[in-house]
Amino acid sequence: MAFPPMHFSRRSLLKGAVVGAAGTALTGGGILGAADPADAEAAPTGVGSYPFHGTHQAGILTPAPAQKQSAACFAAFDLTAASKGEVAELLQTITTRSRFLATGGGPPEPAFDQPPPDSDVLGPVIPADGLTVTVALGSSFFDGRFGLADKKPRHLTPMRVFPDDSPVPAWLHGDLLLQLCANHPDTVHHAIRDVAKHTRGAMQPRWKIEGYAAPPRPSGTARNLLGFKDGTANPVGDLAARLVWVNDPSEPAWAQGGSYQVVRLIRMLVEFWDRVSLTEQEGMFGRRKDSGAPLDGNSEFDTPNYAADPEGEVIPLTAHIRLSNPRTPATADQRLLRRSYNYDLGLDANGNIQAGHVFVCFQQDVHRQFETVQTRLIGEPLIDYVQPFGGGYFFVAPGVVDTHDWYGRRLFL
Amino acid sequence: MASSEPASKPRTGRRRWAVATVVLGVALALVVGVVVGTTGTHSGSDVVTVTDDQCGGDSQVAHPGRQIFSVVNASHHADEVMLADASGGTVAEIAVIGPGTTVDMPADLANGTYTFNCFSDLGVMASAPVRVTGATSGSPTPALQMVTVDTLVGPNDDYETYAAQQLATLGAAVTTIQQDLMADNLTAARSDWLSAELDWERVGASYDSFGAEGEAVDGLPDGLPGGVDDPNFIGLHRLEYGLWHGQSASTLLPITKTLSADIATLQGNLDSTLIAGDPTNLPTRAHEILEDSLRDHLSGIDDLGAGAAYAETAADLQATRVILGELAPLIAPRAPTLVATADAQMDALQSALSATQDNGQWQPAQQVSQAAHEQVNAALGALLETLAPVPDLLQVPGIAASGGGDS
Repeated sequence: MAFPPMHFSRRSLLKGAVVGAAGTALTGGGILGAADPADAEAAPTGVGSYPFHGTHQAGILTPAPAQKQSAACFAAFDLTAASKGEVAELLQTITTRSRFLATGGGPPEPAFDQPPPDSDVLGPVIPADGLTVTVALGSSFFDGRFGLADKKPRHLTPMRVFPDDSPVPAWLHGDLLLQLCANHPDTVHHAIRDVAKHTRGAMQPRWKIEGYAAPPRPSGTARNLLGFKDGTANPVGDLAARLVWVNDPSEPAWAQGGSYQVVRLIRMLVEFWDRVSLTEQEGMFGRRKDSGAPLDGNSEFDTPNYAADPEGEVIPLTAHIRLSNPRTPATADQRLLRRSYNYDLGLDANGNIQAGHVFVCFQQDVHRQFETVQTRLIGEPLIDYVQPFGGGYFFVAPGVVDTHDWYGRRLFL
Repeated sequence: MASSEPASKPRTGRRRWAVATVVLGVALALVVGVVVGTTGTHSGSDVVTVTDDQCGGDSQVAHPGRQIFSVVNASHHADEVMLADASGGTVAEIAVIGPGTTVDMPADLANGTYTFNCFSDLGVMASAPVRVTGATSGSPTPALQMVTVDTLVGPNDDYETYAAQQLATLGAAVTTIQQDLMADNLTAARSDWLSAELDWERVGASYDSFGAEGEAVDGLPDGLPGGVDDPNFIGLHRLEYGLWHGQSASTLLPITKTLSADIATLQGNLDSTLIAGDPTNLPTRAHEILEDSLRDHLSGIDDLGAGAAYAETAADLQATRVILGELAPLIAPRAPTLVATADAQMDALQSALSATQDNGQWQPAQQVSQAAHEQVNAALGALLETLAPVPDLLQVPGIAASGGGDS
């Protein structure tokens, strides 16, 4: 048959062209697919990639929310592995694939008698394209099937149902969550397809949603699909690090350096929202829609002064920004790091655009932070325009520190 | 809505460009007015300063056409600032401006005299006259005569009377369901459930606007940890779930008794401002009842087995007709074509809903063709766009529109 050689030569040709164009930095690419992770680590990264190895996983503060990649996928899986050993093997496989994908390079040479090893969605040499893979575990991961119950992070539970939620079971929970973020949607697609291909026997997808980030419109923090700047008050720098990473002797040793991740799939009823007056919209958020300024300020990053407005005459007492972050000493350690995305899922039965917000936040204690804030938000006026229907609580494993490490390795010591 | 921030600069630029395009195709006379209107900042006359004892300072001269007043609140309190024309009608508004903040107020002005009015806890202050002179261009913002709470009291009293009648009908319908269940006649109970549900829809308690008492009658299992099996899931939808999921009459009978009591509670408290007693909520109801149909019925979200989305929407339409009828005399002078447009669209929606029936019987959405379903969505969607301005048109000064905000 003529086909396999043709296929082979096409690939070689293209790869040669890419390597040539990129210069010596890429010459290691051809052997990257060979399983040695040391080679992967040594591979070039350059602009558009983030370090895979580190104390903490990327995709949280690397890059920080204000600079987050424009495309994302959140995929929850249920484990189908039969034993603790198979779970360890699964996590090793996810590590190997993630390391390769986040680093970039050439996949293994195709064999004439095998289907191609890579989808070629990103061409013959895979660019890192800013990909970060963030692996997190749900409370059901620790339910006793794999003898890991005693390793469960202290505050990890199934996501509770809040009174304003409209939960849809098919969109909730999961044993393991993959958060994939990259500069382009095809890179995210390629990554989830690759990881799934290599892990089919040990885990099966439960739900998956794609998100997209918006650029500043026209400046400052990006807007959500309700047209408001969203994330203005996010903590940054050292403060963010102090609020996000688990550093608590009462947590299991393996969990230090991890983080609690909350994902909430929140439908936004955008048609209805667009039929509501600007005054009402701004009162619900507590910010001006055009500039993002708090209603008592003049520019986006002005700090609201709630003490000067105790009756809520300027910023209503029920405004989203006021309930979520009252800016008091007592609530300072309840702040969390949001790293959310917009989503579009097609249409509802009533012809409305099915769109909304993949709310994503990270914190060192899901009860002290997210649950406390969310409890304050119960009954806020905004709930008529949004419907939380999916997501879950997960625990982000600590980072993979080097080529010998893998996600959750210390769980199995 | 352009602001004084750098963020707004591209918007200003776009506006100027758009104007320039118009100018190219129109007479020279227009140029003067437009240019003045869009570059009004040069004179500095567009800064309006609110202090503790003044609304707008010295008298001002403005030009016809587009103006963006930069309203500075230098007082110690929150204000609502409105710009009124000589008739007293409002042409621009900032619903809330906090002390120490600056907010842009765009307006399209005609020759004549205007006045800024500042509403705060301390009372109402009026500015010196703002005289607008010059070559006219474009069309001025139509002035809106604000309603008062008093003008809404009559229509809302009518609505309360109507709602009380519907609740009485509902109470009787629930008694009928009880009798069906006592006779172990589940077929009759299902049929009578639909009557009761439609009675409830005709009450017009949109968007949980009847608070917890309304939730007790028609709440969904959403938000309850146990979902449909949660003991706190009660009311009409709990009955629906049981009647269409093989539950026994004896299981459901206690639910009807609780439901009867909850309806009685609602009847007793109907004139509470937390339920139907606040007249300023009536304009919101004019569009939110049907927003509810779209969100909950036609999406399938609140279908717990009966497949009653079209029937419920038809009942919502009836309630909306009643409320719009009560408000029509107030809407007509403020938006002369709105009620006629809405009437025609309501008729279209009624036709589209009727077309989903089979031999006069309501069908679940799954049994209805996509074309017929799209006709319903189209008619309802167009109607909702028409009704959306009603709360703004009938807003009461000093009370920021709060539809849905009281839940």
